[in-house]
Amino acid sequence: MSQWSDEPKKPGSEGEHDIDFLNGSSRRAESESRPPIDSETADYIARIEMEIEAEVKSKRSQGAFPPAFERRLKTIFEQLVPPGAGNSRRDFEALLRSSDRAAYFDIDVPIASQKPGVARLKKLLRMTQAWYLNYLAQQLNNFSTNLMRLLYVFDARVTKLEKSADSRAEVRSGGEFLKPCYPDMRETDGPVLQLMGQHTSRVLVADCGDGYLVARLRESGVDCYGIDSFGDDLEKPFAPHLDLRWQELREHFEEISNGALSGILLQGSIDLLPANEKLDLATEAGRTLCPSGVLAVLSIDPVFFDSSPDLAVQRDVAPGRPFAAETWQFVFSRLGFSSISVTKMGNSNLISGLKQGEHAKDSAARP
Amino acid sequence: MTAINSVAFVTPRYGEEVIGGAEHAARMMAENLAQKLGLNVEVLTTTALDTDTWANHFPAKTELINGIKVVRCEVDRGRTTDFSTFSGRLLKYPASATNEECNRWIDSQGPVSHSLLESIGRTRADVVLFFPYLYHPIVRGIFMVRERSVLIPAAHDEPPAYLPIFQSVFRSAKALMFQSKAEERFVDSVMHVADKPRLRAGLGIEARAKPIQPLSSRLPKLNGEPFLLTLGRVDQLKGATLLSELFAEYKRRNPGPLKLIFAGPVTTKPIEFPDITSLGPVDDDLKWSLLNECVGLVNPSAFESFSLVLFEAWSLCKPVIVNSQCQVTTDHVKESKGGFAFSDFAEFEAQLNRLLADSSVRVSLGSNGKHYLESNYRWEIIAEKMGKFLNEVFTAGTELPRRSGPA
Repeated sequence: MSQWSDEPKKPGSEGEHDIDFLNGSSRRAESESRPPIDSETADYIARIEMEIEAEVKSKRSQGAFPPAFERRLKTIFEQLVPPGAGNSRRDFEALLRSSDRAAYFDIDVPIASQKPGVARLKKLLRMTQAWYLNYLAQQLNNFSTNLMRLLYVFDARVTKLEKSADSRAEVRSGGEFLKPCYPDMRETDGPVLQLMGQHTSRVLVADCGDGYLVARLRESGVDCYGIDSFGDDLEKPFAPHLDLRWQELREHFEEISNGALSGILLQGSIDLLPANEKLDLATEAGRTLCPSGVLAVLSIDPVFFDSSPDLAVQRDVAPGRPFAAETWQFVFSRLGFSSISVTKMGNSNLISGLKQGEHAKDSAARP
Repeated sequence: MTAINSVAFVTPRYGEEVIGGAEHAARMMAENLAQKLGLNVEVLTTTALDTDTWANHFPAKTELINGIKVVRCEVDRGRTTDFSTFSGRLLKYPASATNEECNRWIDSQGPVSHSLLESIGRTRADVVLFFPYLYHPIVRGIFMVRERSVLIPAAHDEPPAYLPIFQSVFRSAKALMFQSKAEERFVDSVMHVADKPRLRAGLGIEARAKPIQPLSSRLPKLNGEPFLLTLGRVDQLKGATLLSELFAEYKRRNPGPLKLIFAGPVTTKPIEFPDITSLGPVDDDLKWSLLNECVGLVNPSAFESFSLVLFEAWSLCKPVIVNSQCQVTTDHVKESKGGFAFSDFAEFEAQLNRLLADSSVRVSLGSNGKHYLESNYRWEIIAEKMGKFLNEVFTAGTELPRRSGPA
């Protein structure tokens, strides 16, 4: 049973894996929307929802909801939350739809009135002014239609770019393609444990896999957690009750304040990222470290990729090349780290450095 | 069973008389941690009842409420008279508020209780849980016990959350507990606390032990006619105006016996319409009678951090309709398949028509909701999760720093 997760139980999930991590398996929505019910019931509800959607569409097309009517009710909705208040794709689409609906200028002013004769007067005014308002409204509608068309074209172009970036990210994050490159920490964890074990306050292990290192560090008293962009290994954690999360490293850094962490270990997919992304991540890591905090990069030696044809292909088609230990040392030094060292660990290099700061955080390091 | 022996809750008001989602949740959490995990639980709170004034209402003393030790401290200063004006101005651009303005906002909002802060400083509890994030005792108190603190923010996307002072409040907490995924996402993005240990457990729902009375004995004038129910504060900000407008429009287009009943304290009156009834605050028995006999429950609010009322409806196999602008309730509905989410009148009308016309849809949605509740949100499950989480965070690796002095 999932003890740390509040993810709703999913069909067939019980008894398959013992998922025991603090934050639930994921921050991603797509894997979490499956209902905790049998597929027949789910299909039934899905069918009902589709029928409701079809009914709404059909009524709209038959003019059951005049624009003025929809606009009035929409205004009441928007009093609660302005459309597009968030910055998700959904918010953007809501804002675009809302703008599209508001883009039409209707000169058909409502003329109903409870006072006798006023409706007739309004009708008369509307008729007498129609020639003038129509002229203005036509120009405004032409402009707003073109503007909305422009926005839709922009949206299509940006979406295309996003998709292109997504597909590159998929290659970058590697999936099964990059996984064989990961060093097996079970044989070479000594130097990492020694380095990170000096810190009792919050330590992040990136691309943590099944959480082996997180578990070992917690055993030695380190307040440690891990994130992983693959997620597969999180389903079979090395030990129960680990704080392991499924999240992209860049996204995670964006949600951490300056100086919050006392140690960061970067490893795994960072090796084959483009150089600019490696540098961005290293910079972000430096920002989130407290003074005297340690940044370590466990990087596969570039020479190792020449040891087999498969690895050479993997390196050559990847978006970026692994850095040599000397390059990482240079990067660390440019980012202002001190006490930079390199430790050879099998096919990998462990590069580490201490963040410099005027006021070292006493609580960060053990006496 | 647990290495943590004692916990203290800090909340601005507490008691059975306190109506409100967050406060009710705090009491349920305190009682269930004591009952299910055998923890020593104390509650540090004020003597206030009314959130608009924070006026002293209860006597300042230590008392037992359902087996929980409750330390009530006198309010030295409630909400200031200029708070509303000041807040309205400040919250137009909350992110650019200065430290001074933030501090003034916190102090003016209240409740300011120096004796409560002293009690927080003195408590010897292993863990101190602060609930919710918004008020003076939490903002000032969390810094006093930061290594033992857990913040249960009950936050949602609202202007005060963007006041810079809250970032330091969230950062001061040793760990965080969220009620929903949407809340967690929001807090991480605004407060930048993704590194903090966290638990997303939600809230538990108590199985109702007492038999439910027939509604005819309490509301005979309903005369068995079908009705939609909405529970909680009747407030424009909670969607009361929206729902009453939608319902009135629905009835104009779809005449019939259906009624809409608002049950809860009234802040903003719903629009006048023959088939809309506002009962005001109702007791627990009447609430459950209403839930038991309604066609379905509607929660029109766009701001919810958990929405207990959905689960109360699902506990009786009743379907729900929610406002799709609210990520939290929409997530619950999507994951449970226990209701519908509307984004405009057309959807609301079609969903309601389907609910009224087809009892199998009602039964199916209600059963799905109940299944979702039973699998995830019973107090036994939640308390167990909380106990393990607190032990893991506060006993792994480091010794708990304890303060000396009397409890």
